[in-house]
Amino acid sequence: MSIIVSLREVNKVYQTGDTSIVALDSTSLDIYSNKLTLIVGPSGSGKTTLISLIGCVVYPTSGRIFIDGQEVTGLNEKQLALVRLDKVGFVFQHFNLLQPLTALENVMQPLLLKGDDAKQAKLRAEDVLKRVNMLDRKQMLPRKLSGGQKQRVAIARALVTDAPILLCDEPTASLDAKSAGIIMSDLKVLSQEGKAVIVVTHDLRLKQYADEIIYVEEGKVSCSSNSEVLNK
Amino acid sequence: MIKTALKFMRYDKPKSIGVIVGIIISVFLIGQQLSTLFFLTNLMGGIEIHSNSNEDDIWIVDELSKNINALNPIDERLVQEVKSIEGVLEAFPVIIASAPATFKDGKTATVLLIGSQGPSFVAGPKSDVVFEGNRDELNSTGNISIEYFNERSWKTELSINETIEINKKAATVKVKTKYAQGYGGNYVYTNIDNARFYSNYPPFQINLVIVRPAKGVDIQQVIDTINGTFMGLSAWRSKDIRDITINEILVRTNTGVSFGSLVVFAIISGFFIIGLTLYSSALDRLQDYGTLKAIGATNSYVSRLILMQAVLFACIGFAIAYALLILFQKGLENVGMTLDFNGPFSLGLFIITLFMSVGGSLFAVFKIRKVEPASVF
Repeated sequence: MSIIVSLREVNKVYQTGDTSIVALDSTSLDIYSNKLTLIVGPSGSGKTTLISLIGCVVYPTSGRIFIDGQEVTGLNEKQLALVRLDKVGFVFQHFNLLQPLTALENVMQPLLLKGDDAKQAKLRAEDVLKRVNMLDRKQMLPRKLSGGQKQRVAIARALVTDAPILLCDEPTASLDAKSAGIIMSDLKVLSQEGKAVIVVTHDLRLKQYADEIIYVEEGKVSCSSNSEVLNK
Repeated sequence: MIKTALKFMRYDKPKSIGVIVGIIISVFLIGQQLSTLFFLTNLMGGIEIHSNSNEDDIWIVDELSKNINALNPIDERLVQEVKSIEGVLEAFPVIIASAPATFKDGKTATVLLIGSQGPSFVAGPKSDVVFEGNRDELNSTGNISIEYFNERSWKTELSINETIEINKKAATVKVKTKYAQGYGGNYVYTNIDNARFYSNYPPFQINLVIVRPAKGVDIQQVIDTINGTFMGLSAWRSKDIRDITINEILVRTNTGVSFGSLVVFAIISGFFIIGLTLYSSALDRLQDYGTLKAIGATNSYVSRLILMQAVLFACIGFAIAYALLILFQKGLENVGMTLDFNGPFSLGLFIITLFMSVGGSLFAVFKIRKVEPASVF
């Protein structure tokens, strides 16, 4: 178990005209590999800002962010894109599969973005789809898949580059209870296999899967291990 | 990337069809207008184009004449005088004059008599436009040519050896030309004496001298000598007299502005139709492009993805529009309108298509570049 994400005194302030909104206030935290970390908090608490910072899709106003030991705070757009490609796999609430592409092509995309050969990318993508039990639907367009199936394809896309971090934004919000349970079990397995799985949710029922829980409220963060939470 | 771009295009069929239709309409209009303009400019310079003059030949006309289709008279003695200039190998007198013609069925038309001496027939017709008959027969008294497509536009039947009236004088059709057409003039080739006779051209007057310089001489020096020696005359290279004729007609008749403005408007409308449709399509796919950025695509990649779609749209739209233009060309060939889609013209048209499509796609590129990857959360 090692630290894969570190935030040190990170602030994020959004400026709207003359108004400054502090979305994240002087936050320091560590996220570990081999753990499923739940980020919870009410709407508008700063959860999205926190995962956006961890996912390297926004710049902090101040502070330092380290991903897999590399400081990403001063990187430019192109370098950040490379960090996302190599280090972070994204799973979104609304799946965000590329609608014009088949399940297989969606999963191949990150590899093609990395410059992999199309044949190798296809073989690798098929392997990962097999792992999430979606190989038989590889030629289907996203609109033909159920919510659970879409999320499995999205997880396959996040896994295909073998990124050490899996960043999941409300991965079960668009799913029924049964599908949600299956997806969370899959994510749990992935964390046990060595990934740092970070799940953002407002659904406290998911805490049974968590090793760590990060609470976000009004831009402030507090952490606890799951045993503490369960005892509360 | 080509495969991904094609998938994006195929997914959004209505907008893709909109873009392609926009390209087809614009390119077809541009191709149609430009090819028609070039056809007309060929007609304007038709006398030079269908003559047997080569590019080194010098054409001498009255200095006030800026249009080879309407030349002022000049003194015929000039021909002998020009021959005495150093570097001149030969000088040919030519008469180009219009006259009314009446056919057997009573129909009438105005013809443009082009008379030069055989057997060289320096003013034409070229042997490659002689469709029927023997050009040498034009050297005999009373023999003339008629144009195949004029015969059709006059809606009268004229066969070889048939007699018509020109200025109420009998003339016998001995040659039929094909594609020897003029701008507002129906070319009738004959020898110089016949041309003078049928047009009632004044004796000892002609309106053009075509000079053939000796091999190896400095053509410009011969032109300068002629211009310096003979007051009231202008000597031109054959290509130059065609160009000043075309310029004069284009400016005088506003044909250039008319066709030019249509082409410019077709380009502008194509640019915005394509641009706005691609922009709208990009807006529909905003989440896809944002997702691509979030999972690691750079701005450069998504820009190239959109530009690739624009290039593919340009290729597809151009191919269809070009096929339609070829059909248009074949259809008009039957009525003597020979539109020329040669290599440089087609390449130019493709470059215009690329400009419209790729240029129009920049609206979408700028929009997508501004999409934050964080927007997908």
